[in-house]
Order: sequence, then C-alpha cells, then structure tokens
Amino acid sequence: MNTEKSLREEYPEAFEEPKMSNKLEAALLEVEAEMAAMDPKIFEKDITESDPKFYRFIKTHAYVEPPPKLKAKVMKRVFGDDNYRHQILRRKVTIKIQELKEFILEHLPGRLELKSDLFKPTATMGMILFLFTIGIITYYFFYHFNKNQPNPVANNNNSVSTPKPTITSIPSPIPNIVANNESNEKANINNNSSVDNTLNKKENDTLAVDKHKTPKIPNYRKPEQPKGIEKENENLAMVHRGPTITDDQADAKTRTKDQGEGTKISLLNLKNVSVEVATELQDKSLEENFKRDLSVAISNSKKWELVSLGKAQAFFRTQASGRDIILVTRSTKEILWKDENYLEKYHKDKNYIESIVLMLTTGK
Amino acid sequence: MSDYRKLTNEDLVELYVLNDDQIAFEVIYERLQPMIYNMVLNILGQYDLAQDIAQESLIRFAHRAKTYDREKSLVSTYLVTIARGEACRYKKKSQKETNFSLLDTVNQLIFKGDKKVNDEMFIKGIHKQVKEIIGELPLVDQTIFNLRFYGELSSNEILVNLRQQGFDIKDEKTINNRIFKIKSLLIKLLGNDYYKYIE
Repeated sequence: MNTEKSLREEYPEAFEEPKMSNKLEAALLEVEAEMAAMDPKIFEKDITESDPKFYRFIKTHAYVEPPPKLKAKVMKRVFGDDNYRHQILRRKVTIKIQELKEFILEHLPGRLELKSDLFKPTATMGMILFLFTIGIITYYFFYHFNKNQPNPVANNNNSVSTPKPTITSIPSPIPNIVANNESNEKANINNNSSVDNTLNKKENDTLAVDKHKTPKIPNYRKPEQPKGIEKENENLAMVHRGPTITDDQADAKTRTKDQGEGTKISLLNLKNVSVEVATELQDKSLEENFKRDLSVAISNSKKWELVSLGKAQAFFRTQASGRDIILVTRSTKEILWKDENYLEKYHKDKNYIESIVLMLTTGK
Repeated sequence: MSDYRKLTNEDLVELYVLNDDQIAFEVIYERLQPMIYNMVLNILGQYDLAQDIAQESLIRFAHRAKTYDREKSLVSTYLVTIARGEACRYKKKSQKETNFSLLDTVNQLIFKGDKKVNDEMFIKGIHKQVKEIIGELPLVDQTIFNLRFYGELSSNEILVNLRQQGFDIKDEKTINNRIFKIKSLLIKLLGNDYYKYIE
C-alpha cells in the first residue's frame, strides 16, 4: 500500500473487510451471472452515461448535503482558535513531564540509593543554589563578551543602531574593501538599505576586525542561522560591494526584467521554487497578500511546483522595505533574477506578479 | 477564489502548509467535505455523530498536513483514510461499550421515553437501506461507491486512489464494471422501492 505507513498503522480499522450476509452474497452471485450474459460494452461505460436515472436516484435519496454550520466550525477550529491548535501539543508536553516526574520518583532515588536525601528540603535548596550559580556565571560571560565586542557603527554615529547599505553604491569594482571601509560605513548610515540586516551586521563585523586588528570574538547576540546562510549572505553582499564580483556573477546579479532573455537557460532548468518574504515590511497584510499572490501564480503557472524552502531548487526573496525582489538558487545562492521597486509595481499593476512568473517560466 | 479553483488538491495543500492559507483550505473543504460527510454517515448512520467525526477528521488532516507527502498519496486518499479510520474506530468503540457497559443500558431506557428525538438522529428509509447494503460490500466496492457518487471523482481518479490504498485494480474499465455491479445489486435488493422512487 502506498498510503502513508503511519496512517495505516494508526487506523487499522479502516482496512478491515466487512462481513457479508448470506442474502447479499446470494444477490451478488445472481448479479454476476446476469452480467456474464450481457454485452460487456454496456457496463464499461461511465454510470452517468449508462444509467443517469440511477445516478440521480442516489444523489437524491442516499446523499445528504453537509450542514453549513459544519464548515464554520471546522474553519474556526483550524484558523480561529489558537488555543485548540496548541492544545494537543500542550497535552503531550504535560504527559511527558508527568511521566518524567514519575520515572524520577520511582526509579532514580532507588538506583542511586538517595531515597532519603534527594527530596529533602536542604538538597532541593542546594540544587536551586547550584542552578542559580550557573545562571550568574552564564550571564557574566555573556555580558563580558558583548561588552568587549567592538561596534564601528556605534563609534561613528550613536543615533544609528542598524546601518543599512544600499545597492546604489556600486559604481565600479573596488579592489580593496579595507581601504574603502570608512566611506562604506558612511554610506551604510546615510543611504537606504537594499540588503537585509543580517548581511549588514556581518559585513560591519568583518570591517571592524580589519580596521582595529582586534581578535575575532563570538557574537552571542547574533541570531541562530541555518547552515549555508552565511554563504547566501556573502552572495547577497556581492550585490552591494562591487570588488569581489566576477564579470559573470555581476551579469547574473544585475539582470532585470528587461534583460530576462539572458537568464533563460538557467531558469528553464528550474522545476520547483519557494517564496520567502522579508519580515521588514511594515504592513503585515501586504506582505501576506504578496506572498499568497506569488504562491498562487507559481502554482497556476504549471511550469514550476511550489514547495517548501528546504526542498526548493530556488526561491524568491523580497528585501529591504519593498525595494527589491530576487530569485536565488538554494544550493549555489546564485541570483538568477532581480527586479527593483517591486511593491510599487505590485500596487500599480494588478498583473505584475503573473507577468513576472510568466516571464520567468516562458521567457515571454 | 476563482484562481484557487483551478488548482489541484495537492497544490492547495502546499499553499495551506506554506502560507497558512485560509482560502486554499476552504477550497479543499468544499471539494472533499460532501464525500467525507456522506461516507462517515453511511458508516455510522447518525447525523450528529457524522458531523462530529467529519469535523474531527478535517481538523486532524489540517494539523498533520505538514507531514503530507504528495508523492505518496492524493489528498482525497489521505483524507478518506483518516475519515474512514476515525469513523470505524468510533463504531468499534461504541459497539464494545454497548456490549459491556451497564450505563449504556440505562441510557437506552432513558431514550426509550423520547423515541421521536431518537429516531430523528438516524438516517431512514431508502438511505438506510442503501447504507446497509453498501456497508456489507467488500472494502474496494465501498470505496468505489463513495468516490464515485459522493466524491464525484472520475474513473481514472478512482483508479489512482484505489491503487494508492493498495487495491489491485487493472484499469478504468474494471472500475466502471464494479460500479455497474453495485448498481445492479442495489436495484435488485431495493426492489419495488427503487422503481417507486424513480417514477
């Protein structure tokens, strides 16, 4: 059976054969005998053609329309009630905690022969004190490392907490980043951003290490990133800082809708894509609408399959408060296509999303 | 909404999982709920129960949609299995309880006093007869009946569905052949009632 194994294991009842009564068995034999004497062409047709009366009979007398209130109930429980959605998870966690508690109470004290001491108030207090000490030490290390970490942005301009570089600062390839970092930093602060914040932070960190020759210190405040995201950021960074871009890469990264012809070959190989929308957009509903419309357009295209990010060959990514949208390959992080001011275009042209999906899938 | 109607059930599930898309889920609901509800009603024979179990099946489906793999099964196969499993489990459990519970005997005595209310909860007449005949048929025929008459799936879709459930079905002709057999059997067993109703 191909139906998922877990489902079959969960519902063995669904696959149990019913018992047939003698009356039904006899009737079935009669029917089979009658059919054997008939022309097979009669019953090879679809029932709506061969006997529309019978089809209508079943639909009228043995079919009930589901009550409308059922839909409202289902939709409310799937989308409305968050408590219900997490209820099962909560119950599972509670049961696990209860089981663990019972296990500790039943087995651990006996095995460690600590039955009399482990749950005494003094021992409990000792454990709490121990945990408290560990907490203090952790906090100290965390604070200490963050205090020593240099922050070039803060040194230059205290009022700016998240500097934002812009794509417009790529006039020509610059051979040495370190030599130009001061001007770059200024640009970061003054211009609008087209690259996301994680990228900015990473780049600024690198610049700071070069400039002040300080040892590399782990950043504990840096949010956890999945493997490969650094490489992805590096790729995106290349859009912003010209120096390390090769000619081929630069071509790929600066292609726009009008230059779609050049991207045809790599885009034609694409079979599945995913959509990621930047959380920077201030209007959440706009962000959701854009993501939904793009997803629907991809599904409707029939050329690409919409899959989750982990499975996709490439993914659409929006950046920096509605300025750019890019299509990036997941494995090599190569930017296959890019368009600027996508939100403005999305507002102006209702068919904007359909047109970009059509252009990317067919080249038209 | 019209854009969504062009999409397959499998595409709609992807949209629901990736974007928590309410419209996508609504379209799946509208397509599959009549089949699920009527299938469950035929197993349990009781309107209120069928509503509860159909509702529970769809909610379970929504919660586990993230683990659904479109390469392994169609959405209809997946949902039908969940709903049939839930309904059969409930039926088995309630039968067990009826056999062993004293409380149930007391409940029956209470219900006896309000027979009208009790009757309205169950399907009756032709529908009841159809339910009883279909309920005794082999699983493959039950599934074909549900998918064709309640789900309104084509023979080809039924074929794919049955194969995914592990039934060894040769081709579409076999499906039509079996539908004809079910039809003939129902007409034979319903007898005069059938002819009375189609006139």
